[in-house]
Amino acid sequence: MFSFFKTLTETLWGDFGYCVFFFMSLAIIFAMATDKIKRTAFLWYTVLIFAFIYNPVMLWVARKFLYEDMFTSYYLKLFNLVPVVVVIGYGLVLLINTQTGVKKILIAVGLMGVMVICGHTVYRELWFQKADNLAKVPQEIYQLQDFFSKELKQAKADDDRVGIMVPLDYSVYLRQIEPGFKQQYSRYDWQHTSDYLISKEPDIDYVYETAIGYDMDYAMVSASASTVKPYNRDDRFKTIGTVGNYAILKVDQPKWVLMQYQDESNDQGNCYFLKNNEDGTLIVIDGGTAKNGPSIASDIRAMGAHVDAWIITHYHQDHVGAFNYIMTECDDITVDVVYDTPLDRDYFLEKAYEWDDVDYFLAYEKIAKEQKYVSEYHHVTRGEEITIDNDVNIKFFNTYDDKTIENGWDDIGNTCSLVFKLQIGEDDLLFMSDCHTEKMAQLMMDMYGDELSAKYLQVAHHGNNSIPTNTGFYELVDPEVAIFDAPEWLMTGEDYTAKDLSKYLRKNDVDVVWYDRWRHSWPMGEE
Amino acid sequence: MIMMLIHLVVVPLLLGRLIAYVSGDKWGLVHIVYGLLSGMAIFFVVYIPLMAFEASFTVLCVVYSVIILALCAMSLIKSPVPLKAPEIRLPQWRTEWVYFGIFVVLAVLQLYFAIFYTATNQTYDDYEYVVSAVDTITSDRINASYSLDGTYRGVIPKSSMNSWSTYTAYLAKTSGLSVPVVCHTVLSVAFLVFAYIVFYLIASFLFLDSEENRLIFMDIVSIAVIFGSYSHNAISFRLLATAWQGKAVLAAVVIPFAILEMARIFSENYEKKQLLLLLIISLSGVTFTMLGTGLMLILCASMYIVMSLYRKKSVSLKYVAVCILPALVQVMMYVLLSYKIYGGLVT
Repeated sequence: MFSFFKTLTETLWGDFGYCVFFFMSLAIIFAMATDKIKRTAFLWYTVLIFAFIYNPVMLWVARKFLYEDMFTSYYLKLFNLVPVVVVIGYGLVLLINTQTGVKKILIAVGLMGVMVICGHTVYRELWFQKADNLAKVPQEIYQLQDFFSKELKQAKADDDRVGIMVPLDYSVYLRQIEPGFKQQYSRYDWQHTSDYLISKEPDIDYVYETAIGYDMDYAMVSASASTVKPYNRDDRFKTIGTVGNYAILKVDQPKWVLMQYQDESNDQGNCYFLKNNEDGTLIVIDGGTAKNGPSIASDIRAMGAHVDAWIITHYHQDHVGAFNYIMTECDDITVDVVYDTPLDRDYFLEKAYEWDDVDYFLAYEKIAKEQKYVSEYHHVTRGEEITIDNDVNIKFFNTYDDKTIENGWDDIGNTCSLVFKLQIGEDDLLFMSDCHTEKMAQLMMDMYGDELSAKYLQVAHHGNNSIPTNTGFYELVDPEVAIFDAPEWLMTGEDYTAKDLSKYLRKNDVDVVWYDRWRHSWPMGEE
Repeated sequence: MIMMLIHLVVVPLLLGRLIAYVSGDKWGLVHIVYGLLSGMAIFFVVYIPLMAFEASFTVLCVVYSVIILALCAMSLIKSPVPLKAPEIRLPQWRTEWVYFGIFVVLAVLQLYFAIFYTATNQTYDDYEYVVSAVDTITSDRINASYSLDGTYRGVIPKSSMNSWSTYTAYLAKTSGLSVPVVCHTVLSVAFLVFAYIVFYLIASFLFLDSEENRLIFMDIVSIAVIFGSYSHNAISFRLLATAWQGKAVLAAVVIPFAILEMARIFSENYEKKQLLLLLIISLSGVTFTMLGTGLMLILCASMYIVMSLYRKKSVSLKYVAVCILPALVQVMMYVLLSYKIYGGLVT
């Protein structure tokens, strides 16, 4: 607590020049102000606000309500309640007023001079510059608008937007001037992508992953040779023109792209999109928590407001929450088929633990019964195979049935999860959802053997208390990439086993992916 | 530009005049600030239900404009208070001219930078404020678009409970200026001026009998604003670099004004006519951000405590109730909306 308040104070006051002025002024007001109401309004009020801010109870309450990631930044805003400049003004005028005539002027001007010397002004900051126009937007944005005028017009006619990745200095302004653009800009990975657009050593794969994950058709990169050359050498990017000192690249989008979404709740969750860029077919797997709902709905709308197939693996809130939200709150999104696990209501209610989110199951059941925006609900059977859009083959290795009851009765809320392999061309993904017990893994290994092998493995149960490493399961699947649907606290926390599993997989040359960026994307079925 | 002058000068003047009439006060500078804040407060009151029911932005503009027009007409027609300029006495003594000259130079300097310069390291906040206003206009949906691509996102408790960005959209739409021009230039200048009006009101409160001290106070405050950029949390940064952002308006205009007016009103015995003034302050204070709502609650509680100690008896609880009512209603709506959308409280 003490170190937090110390950091807070240092962050607020910087080099303490004005801190001295402020507290000196408070002392002067205390010593010299005779009018009680003025002392009350600006001295005692300020003291009380400080007592509020530097208070363990306030800190405890704030921690209950404010985001941990941005906590210090939010807590600092409490200082907005302190009338710093008024207190300084009041205190110094009281001091100056002890003199008269020329002396008073000299002291006043002298004190102002000291304030200038001790202070910093935004006007001298490098980031405070003369603007190109009254909109205070870089001229390149207008040039970009001209460059894409045809595409913007077409996109408007199609009720679509032109996706472009631009360096950070421009991304903040892009949609301020032209709402016909869209961008990937996000609080979580904007820095990386933006940096790589101007970096002398760009991570092309990272930029490409962003482009396909966010449906960005274009990239604006520095035209300096060191930056643009690596892009020009890569088949996935093609230069189509220049704007100012930047090259405009067209990104080659794959036919199918798989996307893993981080959960908006900053908690664990499962949300995957598989999208066909050519015909717009969209397959959604789970969707994450209800807090994910609005952003997922927004993305579905951006992709045509229609889902061709939605796979609900099971009914925990971090899997079905967003689906329930969308089906109750969004009347413009439709679904052709929902594939789900036919969990028996009575058995589940009898066996359910407190963490089994029974309410979410009941809500889903009600939604399925009403069948408002979904054409068909399909209960999956073990071993069932389906094909979607000619390219996507899915085989289900687990669902709720007698074998699940026999082997997974002790955690039926999780073990009833749909487990399946999704295959497009040579690329395949084994999706384990929350089917995490040793017995269930053994059951599937016995039943399907080598069929479980896949390039991508979605690790069971977010990697925590997942299938043990001594079962031979991971050696059988033999993935190149293991995907954990887990935030940092779960990946690294002492109380969780995800860190051990990820260490084990890394040791076996498996790339481990988790919520280290807002959205991971992979091209699927590309030769 | 004429429409912008109407919004930022004529409307505050006329609403201020009406407020002076209703509260029975002599019309002055303070009522111009009340006029400005009451415009934002009325917008918020109209905004909340229309946002919750996902009405179109055009409907919001029409409803708000009609209300404002009616109130302005009422101010011109019904108010018996004669329309006259607020009393501003020109400096008389030679020394006062020195301080006045310093202030004018510093004011012009700040206005020059506000018009022609900009912070080039704008971040997500600027993006959110401006783009959500742009999307509100282009989509005709009230604060319901996803700022990255402009697609419909629906009502989100955290961002939809505050009307500030929609208010800037209203200013842009009705003035014909683009949102970036409104935010980055027009409001930067306007709120700089309003912040200094508030500082002058505080100077008048602190140094009622000395114009010279008031001018010295204004000089020192100007220097503190210009050279007090000790961190991004300083009023200097907010007022000079990001004045259009809701939290800057809250920190530089609303909070100092609220401290001043609450001190004045709380120090006196209960009078019904003061309730309107407190309501305007508290309503305008909750229009910016949810964190701002929390700040307004703390401010009210703090002023209640210190002013009760000053009076040696409790400030009228009716005053306190009016001060915290908007924040409480807003928090309640936030919770209801959060439960409706997410099935639980999401912060």
